[in-house]
Amino acid sequence: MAKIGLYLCECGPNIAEVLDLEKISNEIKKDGKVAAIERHKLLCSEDGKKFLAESIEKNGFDRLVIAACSPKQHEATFMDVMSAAGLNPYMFQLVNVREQCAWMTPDKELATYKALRYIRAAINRVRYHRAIEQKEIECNADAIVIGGGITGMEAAVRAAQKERRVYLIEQTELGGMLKCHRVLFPTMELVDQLLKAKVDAVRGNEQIEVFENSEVKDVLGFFGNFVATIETKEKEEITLHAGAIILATGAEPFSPEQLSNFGYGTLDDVYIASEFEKVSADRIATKSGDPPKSVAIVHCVGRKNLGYCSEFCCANSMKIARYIKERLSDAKVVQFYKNLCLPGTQYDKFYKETAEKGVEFIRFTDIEVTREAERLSIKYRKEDHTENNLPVDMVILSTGLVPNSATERFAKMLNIPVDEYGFFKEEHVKLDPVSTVTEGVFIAGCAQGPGNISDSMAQGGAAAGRILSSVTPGGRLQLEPETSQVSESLCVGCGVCVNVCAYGAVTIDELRHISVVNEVLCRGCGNCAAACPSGAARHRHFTTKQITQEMGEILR
Amino acid sequence: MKALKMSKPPDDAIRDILRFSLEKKKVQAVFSLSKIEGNGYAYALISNKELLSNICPTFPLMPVNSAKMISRLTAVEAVKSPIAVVLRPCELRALFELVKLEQAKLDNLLFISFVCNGVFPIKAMKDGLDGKLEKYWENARIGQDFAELRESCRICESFVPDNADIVLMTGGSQNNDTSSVLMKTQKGEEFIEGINDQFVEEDRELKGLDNVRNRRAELKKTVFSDLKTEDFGIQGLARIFGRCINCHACSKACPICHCNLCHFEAAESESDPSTFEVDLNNRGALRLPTNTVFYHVGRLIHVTISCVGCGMCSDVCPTDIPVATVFTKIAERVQNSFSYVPGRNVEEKIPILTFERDELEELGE
Amino acid sequence: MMGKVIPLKENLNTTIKEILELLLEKECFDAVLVPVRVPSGESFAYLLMKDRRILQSCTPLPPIMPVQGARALRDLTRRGNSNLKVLCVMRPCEIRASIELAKLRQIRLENVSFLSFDCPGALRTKDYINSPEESDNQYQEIIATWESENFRSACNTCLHFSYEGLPADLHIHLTNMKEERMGITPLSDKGKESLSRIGIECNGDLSGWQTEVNEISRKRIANRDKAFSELRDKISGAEGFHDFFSDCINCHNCMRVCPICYCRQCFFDSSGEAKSEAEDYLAKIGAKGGIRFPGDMMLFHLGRMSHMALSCVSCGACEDGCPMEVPVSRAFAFVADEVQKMFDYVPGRNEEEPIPVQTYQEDELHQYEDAKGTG
Repeated sequence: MAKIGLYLCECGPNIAEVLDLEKISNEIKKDGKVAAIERHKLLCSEDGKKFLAESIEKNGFDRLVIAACSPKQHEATFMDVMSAAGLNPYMFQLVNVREQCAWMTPDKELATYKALRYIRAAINRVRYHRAIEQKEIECNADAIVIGGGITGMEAAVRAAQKERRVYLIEQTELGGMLKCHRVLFPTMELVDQLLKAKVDAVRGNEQIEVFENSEVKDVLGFFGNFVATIETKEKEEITLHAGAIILATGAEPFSPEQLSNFGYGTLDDVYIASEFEKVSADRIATKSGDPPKSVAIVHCVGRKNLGYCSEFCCANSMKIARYIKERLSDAKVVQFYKNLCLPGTQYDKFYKETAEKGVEFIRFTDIEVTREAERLSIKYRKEDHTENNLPVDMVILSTGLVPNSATERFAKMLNIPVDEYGFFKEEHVKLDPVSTVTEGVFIAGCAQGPGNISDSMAQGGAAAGRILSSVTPGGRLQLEPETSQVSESLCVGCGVCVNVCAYGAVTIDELRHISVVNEVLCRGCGNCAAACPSGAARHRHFTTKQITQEMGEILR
Repeated sequence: MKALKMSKPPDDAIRDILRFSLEKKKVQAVFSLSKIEGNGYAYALISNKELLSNICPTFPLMPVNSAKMISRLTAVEAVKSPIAVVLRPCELRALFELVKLEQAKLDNLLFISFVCNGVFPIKAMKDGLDGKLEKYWENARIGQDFAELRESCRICESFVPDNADIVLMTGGSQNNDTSSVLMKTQKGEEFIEGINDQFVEEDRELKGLDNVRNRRAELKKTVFSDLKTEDFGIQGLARIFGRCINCHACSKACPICHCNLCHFEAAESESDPSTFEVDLNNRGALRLPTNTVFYHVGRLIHVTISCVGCGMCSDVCPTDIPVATVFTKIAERVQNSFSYVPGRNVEEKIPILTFERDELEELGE
Repeated sequence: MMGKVIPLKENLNTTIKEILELLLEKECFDAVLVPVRVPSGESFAYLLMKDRRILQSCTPLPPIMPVQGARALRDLTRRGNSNLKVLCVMRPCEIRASIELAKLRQIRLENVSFLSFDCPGALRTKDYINSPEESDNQYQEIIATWESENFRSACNTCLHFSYEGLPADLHIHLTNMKEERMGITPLSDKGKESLSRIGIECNGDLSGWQTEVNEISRKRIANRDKAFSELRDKISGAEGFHDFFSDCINCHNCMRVCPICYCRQCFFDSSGEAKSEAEDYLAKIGAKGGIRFPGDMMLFHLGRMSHMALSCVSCGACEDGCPMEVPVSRAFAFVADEVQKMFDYVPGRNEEEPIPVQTYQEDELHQYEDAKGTG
């Protein structure tokens, strides 16, 4: 037989001055369902908690109903007192008679009446509470980095520590978009050496395990306890466990095929910036085989379609101009721009130096790449409305970055929102630029928005830093106690619960033809219990019995 | 024993008694068959005496065996303050069996029963019983068989309640405009104490019902022998349960069947396709759904020791299988072999739930 | 629609039996699931048979449907798929119910094939049991005329009585029976292959039979509209609903015979639902002054509707099994129709199409939200 203790907290004047606690006490006593009723001025105070602990011991209650403030305020407080006093903290129902009754109306009679109904409902409910054990698992300190470009590699290297492994998963080979470039602005140093150094650092690190030509199939779990399924290059499926995930899946250059006025894909010798350096690795030459005598570099191609500035491409264009000039000193290089984006301390200088090297800068309002009389030609209009025509041998189109297919896939897989352009959305654009709304999943690099290499490196390091500080080796993770369970004898294996689980926590045991809840992945949302027509799936602490008992009183 | 003569028909008499008991707060609620909204009848638990005008305790209908309902009420915990329960003799006996199976508790329950003249099959309610009631009560008064009643009732010899606190005499040369109310226990006496009606000291043994009992026994002999279960074997079982559609309605209506999840509905009774294939190879053909006869045999084994012959099973069968006839016949054999009468004494244990080393020696080594 | 017209030998059942025999003989299938008359003679039961000789005693098109075929198939394949190739001879509603159960993992359809037929309807089981011979004769007439007062109410308003939208393998046309012949059409590759293996060339154009089907459909639609519009007023609101079901004795038979109700233990039979503390019952009495026992009559029907209406194939098994002859299938068919329209869902038309209750769409049903968008 349940031995219920009811505690009425006065909360200073907050509750006591509105509710008629004397009346409530008498009515509840008449109901005969509680063993004893106690009253206290301020149950959450040190004195109050001491009183509560002593009272529990003295009376031998096996479950409590406390009428006080909002559960958000002090549910945890009282649960701690109960645990310390040897009572399972789930044998407890907190009734909010402050925010929901005393603070709702000045009408004392009404407030008291409502509080009484709520307390009765809680007493009905608590009779059917069962002890729930709080389980812990060891927090996994390892990290999974998805994307083996410069961002991913930087993050991997920074996160890999003595007691921490990093799994770096890459769809193709390590290197990412960096492999498109031969030189970097503003130093004009060769990419090869930098990339090799980074790749060596990654491969040489014992704590990092690299999976190239591999794909992440699915990720389940939560912060401290992620479970990822990877398909390796041998087409084998393996499972990796980690505590946190960094998404460094990058972006891809916008391809202007659909923009007919640029001739990309239709006219010869028209390139986009990201392919130019690779294509001209050995020598810069037109289709005919000769080096071009004149090259036009067009900025902001597709800018209107994208709707945003990709930040790095102006400087990249100037770099390409200098790259060409360094190899073909006689070539005429003209840069057509609408606006120049030159943030930071290095770029003004770079621009001036580029101009000094003989690169011409022309500002346009409209532009078109055509072919006239067997020759490529740039038709453009200037700000003064004059129309001009410049025949050239080669055109390089500078386009921005757009999200790649990985972004959408991982956004769905990890429940991360994307912004209006399709890039991963950070938790806060100013104050929390590498976190996401999903705890334990971080974003870095161009997957989050177009930028340059130094930004990407900084973000990769930042994400790694977040992991180092939040997921510690040997840490303990409290699991959700109010999980679901499926009765083996009642379950008939229809699978409706599997469909409605947002956390992948329910699977079908084919042999027994029943569904099974993985209590480590279960987040206690209750969808399965609600969807199950027979009641075979049961949500701990929110069973049908408990709810109907509470509602039965409320709806009477 | 003390008897009370009330110049009114049984239903009115019971209404008066219950109204009195509610008014005097001798009970907090009463349980009885009642008319409900629409045209239906159902058992009801009533605390408001105004609603007593709807109750019809002896109305010849049993929409559900009330023992099951009392089990719902008291399985988890006994009622804390008195409730008067009006029910038929077989229902009361079934309730006692459920108590022995830990499915009901008798504390604070006061039982009012009556000499039972039987009930109509529930489908008779569909066409309305108005035309038939007069004949029913007339037959009851003269103690004559009424062919339209449930077969189980027509062959029932245990129509006088054993263990009620208060028993109403109905039928068997009883004028239906007066009721004799017998207080069989002290509890019953205390219950009626103070009622404003004529009290008679009557040494009323329930006589005059032997004719009825004998007539029913004769009919039972005929019905049972017509069934020819002695020649049954598997063929016979397959024949009589041939129309069975595996709905298990009989089990759900039966007051003795109390399992939360019947074995025949649990996963353990399902077979893998490979089992079907082996069977199919051996026999050439296989009836689906399976376990049709097996289910009834299982239920015979589990239930017949406590079967009270209420006849709910036949009533709810969608294919009109004479389930009750088969079960009551087998039950008689089983109960006789243990000299056991279900529901006669709540202290008496159900024989198959006890272990005696030295018994049933006649069945051989 | 290509198929073959087959003149009847004796009667419909013997003709179909011959085809079944051939299909087994030529090993198109390993076994056939088909109704057979029970030993006592007044009912039928499904038999899974391998032995061709036993086929002699089967009745492919019985006048009644005491067991909904999907329930028979469920027993066979609930725990895994059959290795035997089984041909199930079933009415369209039984096939559709089987498809629904397949979506709920209660039936596995690998190696299962269906032979369906134009179904004129089924007589009420209890009527048949009372006078089987008379009913048999009656049914022969019914197959010829497609008219009857003695059908289940669900049959009179059934629109899915033919092959359209039915995922079967073989179909037998009965609508144009006047010249003592039936038609057979393959509806799948398996069906086509089987027919050719037993020497039935599908070189006849059976599109003409469609006119008959359309005519019957028209009548049924008229029946349906009339029945549903009458029902709408009767059953609306808590009082209307209660009165409609006032004869109900809460035996739950309707749930037990329903092919879609697949729970091992119905929620309304569970002890959590059925047994409460005595004080709770007494508390429930409250202001009303009394409660009935059992107390969840309306809740049971509403609950059952909300669980299975999306998959209801309106077979009428519920009403057939009701001891009080409550017009259960009328109510359920009506609600099912409305609810299925809401989701543009037709049960049993496609195994790949999930039941709306199995999917989650964030953006739907806005038309049911109120002005505040709270719905």
